[in-house]
Order: sequence, then C-alpha cells, then structure tokens
Amino acid sequence: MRLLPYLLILLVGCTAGLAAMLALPHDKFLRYQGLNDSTAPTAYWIYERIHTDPSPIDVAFIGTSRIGLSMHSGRLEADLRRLGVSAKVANLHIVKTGVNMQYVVAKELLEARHVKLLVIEMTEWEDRKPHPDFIFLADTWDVLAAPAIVNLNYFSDLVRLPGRQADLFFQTQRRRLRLDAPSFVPPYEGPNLDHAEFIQTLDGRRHERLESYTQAEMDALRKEQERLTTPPLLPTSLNEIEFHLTRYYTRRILDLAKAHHTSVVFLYTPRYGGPAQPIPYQRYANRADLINPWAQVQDYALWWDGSHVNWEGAKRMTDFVASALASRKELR
Amino acid sequence: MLFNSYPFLLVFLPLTLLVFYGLRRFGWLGASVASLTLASIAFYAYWKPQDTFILLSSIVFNFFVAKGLVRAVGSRSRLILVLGVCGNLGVLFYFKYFNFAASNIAAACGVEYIARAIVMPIGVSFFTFTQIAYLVDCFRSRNSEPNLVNYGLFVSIFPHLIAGPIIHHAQMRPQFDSLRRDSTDPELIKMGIMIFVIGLAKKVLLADNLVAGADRVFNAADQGAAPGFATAWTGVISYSLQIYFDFSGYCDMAIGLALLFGIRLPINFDSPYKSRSIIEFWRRWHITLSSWLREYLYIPLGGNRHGELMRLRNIFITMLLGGIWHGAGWTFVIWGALHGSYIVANHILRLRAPRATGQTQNSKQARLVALAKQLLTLLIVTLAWVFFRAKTVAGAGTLLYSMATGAAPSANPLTLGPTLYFWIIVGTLIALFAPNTQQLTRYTANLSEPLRLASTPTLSALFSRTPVFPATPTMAFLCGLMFAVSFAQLWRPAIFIYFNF
Repeated sequence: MRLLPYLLILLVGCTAGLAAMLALPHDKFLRYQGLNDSTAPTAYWIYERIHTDPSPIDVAFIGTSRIGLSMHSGRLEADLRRLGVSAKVANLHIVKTGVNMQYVVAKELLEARHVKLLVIEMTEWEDRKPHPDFIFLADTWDVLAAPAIVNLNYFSDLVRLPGRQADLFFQTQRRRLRLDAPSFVPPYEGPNLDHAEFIQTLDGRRHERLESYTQAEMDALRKEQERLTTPPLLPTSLNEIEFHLTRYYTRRILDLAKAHHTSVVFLYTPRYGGPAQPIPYQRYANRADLINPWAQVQDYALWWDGSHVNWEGAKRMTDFVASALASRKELR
Repeated sequence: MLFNSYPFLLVFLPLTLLVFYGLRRFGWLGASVASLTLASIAFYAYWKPQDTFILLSSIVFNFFVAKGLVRAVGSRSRLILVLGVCGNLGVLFYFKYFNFAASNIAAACGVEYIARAIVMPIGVSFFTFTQIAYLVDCFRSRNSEPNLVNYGLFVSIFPHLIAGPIIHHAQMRPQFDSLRRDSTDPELIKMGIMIFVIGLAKKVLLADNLVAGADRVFNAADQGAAPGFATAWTGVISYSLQIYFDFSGYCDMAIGLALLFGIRLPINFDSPYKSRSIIEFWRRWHITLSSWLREYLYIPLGGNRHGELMRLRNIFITMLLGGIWHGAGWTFVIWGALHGSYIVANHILRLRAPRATGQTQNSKQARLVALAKQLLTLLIVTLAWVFFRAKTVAGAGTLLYSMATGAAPSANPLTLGPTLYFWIIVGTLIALFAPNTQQLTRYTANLSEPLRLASTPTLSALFSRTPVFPATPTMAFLCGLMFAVSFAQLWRPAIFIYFNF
C-alpha cells in the first residue's frame, strides 16, 4: 500500500474516532463534579442548586470571586424581606475571570429554572481572556462553536474535548454500574452558598474573611493592580476584535435572558481604587440597568485584598444591593 | 516536551516533519539533517531553555575531546580519554548526586547540611552515558565523527534524548550518512506511525490508568500508613505494570518517531516479564542500559577475566552502580544491590545446580519448570520495584511488611476501585501473553534487514499463530482509531517515569 493512501485512511480513522467520542453521552452532574480543585469550589453546588434543590431562584448572581465574596445571599434575602420583598437568592459564582464561564452558568440556569432577575457581574475594564475552566463545564457544542478569534483557549479546549467526553462517558458508566463512586461528592450545603463571610475549602477548613490592610498596604496593592492591568492594545477602531470574546458572551447572556423572559441588571464589583463607573457599561446601557456600589466601599478597611472586599465590605455591598433590588418591579 | 502532549503532537512533530521532508523534496538532504538537529535542540530547550547551554556545552566538549584523543597517541590519548570521562561524570555527579553525597557525608560527620538548590537538567544521565560510550569507542577505534552537526544530532536526536535508548555512534553514523545521500523509505514512515501509536496507547491507555492505584498505596506507605495485605500487593502489582507499560510505551514511541525520519533506534524493551531468570530479565529490560553497563563498566572492572569470585563481585558492583544511575537515594542503592544479588545468585545457581536452571527433557515438566521460573522471576522483580518506587526506605519497609504479613486493619482503609483491577488484568494479560511491538510490526534495528510491514489481509494477519499488524487499509483505519482514542486521553497528560532519571 502506498504511503499517501495509507496516511489518508489513517486520518479518516482518527477523525472518525474523535467525532465518535464527541458524541458520547454523559451525566452532566459528573461534569460539574469535575471542577472541584479550586480553593473556593462552587461548580458542584451550582449544579445541585439548579437541578436538585426545589427552592426557587428568584434572583441569581453570576460572576467571579468578586461577586462570590461580596454578595451574601442569606443576608440579602433578609434585607429584602425587611424591605417587603420575598425572594430567594442564589450566588452562582465561579472563581477566575472569563465571561464565557458566566455564559455557561447562565445557560444552565435559564434552561432549567425560571429566574426573575439575573444579576451579572461587571468589572472596571473589559476582560480579554476566556475562563481557563470553560472546557470542564461547557456543553460540547458550546466548546465547538466558541469564537476562535482572539480566544486564547479555543484550540486547547477543542483538542481536549474528545478526552473530556470519553472521560465523562466512562465515569457515567462506572457510576451506573456502581463500579466507582465519583472521587469526591461534597455534601450539598443548602440553597445558600457564599464565600462572603468565610471560605470553606474542600478539606472542610473554614477561613474567616475578617482581615483588612492598612491604607498604605492597600495603596501598594492598588498600584500593583494598576501596573498589572493591560490597557487596550489595539486602536479604538479594533476594540471589537480585542474584546470580542467578552462582548460576544455578554451579548449571548443578554439574548438568552431575553429569550427566557428574565430581566437583567449589571452589578459593578469594583476593585480597590478603581474608577467610579465601570467602563464597559456604556456599551450595554440600553439593555440593562447598573447597580453601582462603588461609593460604599471606598474605605480601605473594607478590603480583603486588591480586588475583593472583606466580610465588612461584603455586608455593605449586600445591603446596598438589597436596597437597589427592592425597588425593582420584577421582585414586587 | 512530552511525546504524549498536544504541543508535541500538534505543533512540534508536524512542523519538524514538514521542514525535514520539505527540504528533502528540494534535494537539500544535508539541510534536512541540520534541521533535525536544530529541532532536537529546540525540543530540549522547551523544557528549560537555560539547560540547553549544558547540553550544547557537553556536545561541544565531547566532540573536541574525541577529536583530541584520536589525534593523540599512547598514554596521552588515554589521559585525554580519562579526562573526558571524568568531565562527563563530574557533570553527572554535580547535578545528580552532589546533594545526596554531601548530605550523607554531613550526616556521618554529625554536621548539618543545607542542600544546594541544584536542579538536574532533564536527560543528563542519558546524554552523559551516550557520550562516555562515544569517547571510549573513539579511543578503541581511533576514529571520531568529523562533523559537529552529525555529532550534535547523534547526541541530541529528540526521540532518544530524554530517556534513551542509549545509542552508539557506530549505529547512527551510517544512518546519518544515508540521510545525507539517499531519499527516505516510505515504508519506514508507515512502520514508524504504527509503532508510535502502539507506544502511545501503551502509555496513555495502560500505564496512566494504573498510576492512581500505585500512587495511593505507595504514598500512604511513605507517610507511614501500612496498607492491608491485598491492597499492598495490588498497589505494587499496579506499579510493576505501570512502569512496564510506561517504559515500553516510551521505547516504542522513540523508535516510531525515529523511523518517521528514516532512522532506526535499537530495541530497548523485549517483553521482560516473560523472562525465566533474572539474567534474562536484564537482557530484555532497558536493553541498551544493560549493554552499556556490561560494555563500559562490567568489562573494564575485569568482567570474567579473574575468576568466578571476581566475576560475581563485578556483576554486583555493576548492578549496584546501575541502581544508583537511576537516582540519588538509598532506595535506588538498595534496588541496585537487590538486582546485583539476584544476578549473582542466578549465576551461582547455574554453576551449582545446572539442571535446575537448564533445559528439562519432559515437555510437560519443562513447561511447569518454565512457568515456575517465570513466576519466581516476576516475584523478585516485583519485590524490588517496591524500593524503586518508594520515596523512602521506611516507606518501602512498611509496604513489604504489609505484603508479607498484612497490616492491622486501619480506621480508614485504602480502597482501590474495581476499575483498577480491570486494568491490572488487562495489563497482566498483555505483558505476559501478547506479542510485543517488534513482533507485531517485524521491526529490527539491524540495518542489513529491510523493514516492511506485512501485507497479508488484516484478519489472517491478526489471528495467525504469530500475529502481525499489516499495512492494509483496515489496519490503517484501526491505527487511526487507536491514535484518536489515545489522543483523547492526553487531556490530562502524565510524565514518563524514566524522564526522572
């Protein structure tokens, strides 16, 4: 057999194998179980909150650790009650930045539950990078159809996808046959899981979030963050390319919410010393309101690090957000 | 860069093949060889760019030492050889053994020693041994490689650079000359792909699925938690199979990759768990290291030239040093000493009881004896792996104690999933009964024998008494499928065990 036909048939075999693996079914519960290696894991809880906990989700927060560490859902519910609003709140945050992950969570939520109000995190600047764990949680088609332009993880996600599918397929079968328990199933913490007051790591240890820094230390942290912030690299006319990923997924979340008749509001989660207004908001001002607690957290003593408020700061932000939400017609 | 990684498979390898064959297509054969040298250096630099300086310095040093010793005569030539070998061993000692030696000397003297931050350059053991052999061969043959690019390629050619096989210049030189002269045989490429895919499958489908069981048991033992009898044996058997398929897979991948560039590397692995004696085991496991130790250590120590006792002493020393070559630690010293003792005992047994170690007339009895020998060999090799894998001597002791007596039931006993037992059964069946890669593909490193995949129809080829993988469309499709399945497993990559040495 000549070399070229041999190589072509080999390629066909390889492609067929990879395509077949992409089509392998699995239990999505295991997919969310697989992302439990971070210091503040929430993926397993998000899945159970959405799919197994019968209590309603009237207000859902979606974002990163900034929203996770600043919104205490239990306190928010109590605040709302005091203000005459009865609403169940879920803080569905996943640590690390990347709006594509927020899209994954929003999709999972909106396709399964009716949500009155979706609160989406907005930071001071637009992000460029995709979420590093997108491959672990996203649906197969969402990985395949993700924007390839200026998406640093597109190809690495793509090549890892068949492996993920095969892995989850075999995990599902093993579980079905009761051969293996999943390596870790944390107990479900109930309808409210936040890291605003404390962080509980997988080893069960509780880390209180009461620390704060001196003003000089916070100023040093602010300067360090400013130094690490990369300003727009391309000319303004090419911003759409540079920030394409974030804008694409933000639009998709907004479209998804609209399709499911869910209202959306952005919540500015500033960093210490950040601008008074989030720069990206002007782009979406005609599609959703903004809650801006910036003025509430200007005191350096309210900060846990350069980007996250401490428990005192979280209480301030939570109370402020509660008062902003209480007046919204969706919750009345 | 790992062979079993996306950057290697999707970027480095296609790019290197493209440049290599692109240059050859335009008739620039010499440039294609140079491109392979450059690619090999880039492959090495990917790990840690600053270590490339050590590799390149070593290459240049040995190239000129070899030239010098060939030009010099008599004792001057020998002196240059000794200096060259000492230079190589000095580098190896510094990077690999300095902290170990210094900490033990300090402990013996009752002095506190703070370990220096020495990070061993990857592959240093392999490229050092390759070049020591080269210097000795040049000294013996009075002939050295005249071309620095060829020499650089000989040392650094990426399929063997990190974890062997240890190659000899005499094996490579005619092949490099041929690459500069002739076009590449497409049959080698087909066979190379086949062997590479088999190796990749061994690594990612077998070895990597056995890691978890072995790691859990050994890590627990190293932390002082004695596993139960069955768990200890399961963990150790898992590791025996893991290292088997890890190293076997690596060796196949190295041979397959070299074939893609028209180069034949020596066979390094030949179904060692089918061995019926420990002597045979070492003729089948890490063959090129065994040959190296015999040629450049055992024979210079005196070999069998000074009587039986000295021969046994030399064997023991050779195996002890072979153990230490694998790593700086008492566990490796014990592992080497154990294998040295095994081989010495095997030789004594051959001398004292030739009937027990030789052939038996009765065929049924012969089969039973052969089986008993194979099981005994497997048992002692498996026991020795405990020291090879354990991080501490105490950990190895804990595990061996559990294997011998079973530990007292603990409050939190280690549980190993049924999937692990599945992989152990599959691995055992393949290791003990399946034909190996060179049998399946008819690969030989002998340059005078042509390399051709069989052309018999797939079914009759696969299900004959001596199964082979033929070059048929069905087999090409199956090979592609096996690659896809293996490729998918790379989403959680794992390093090769021998990369640590």
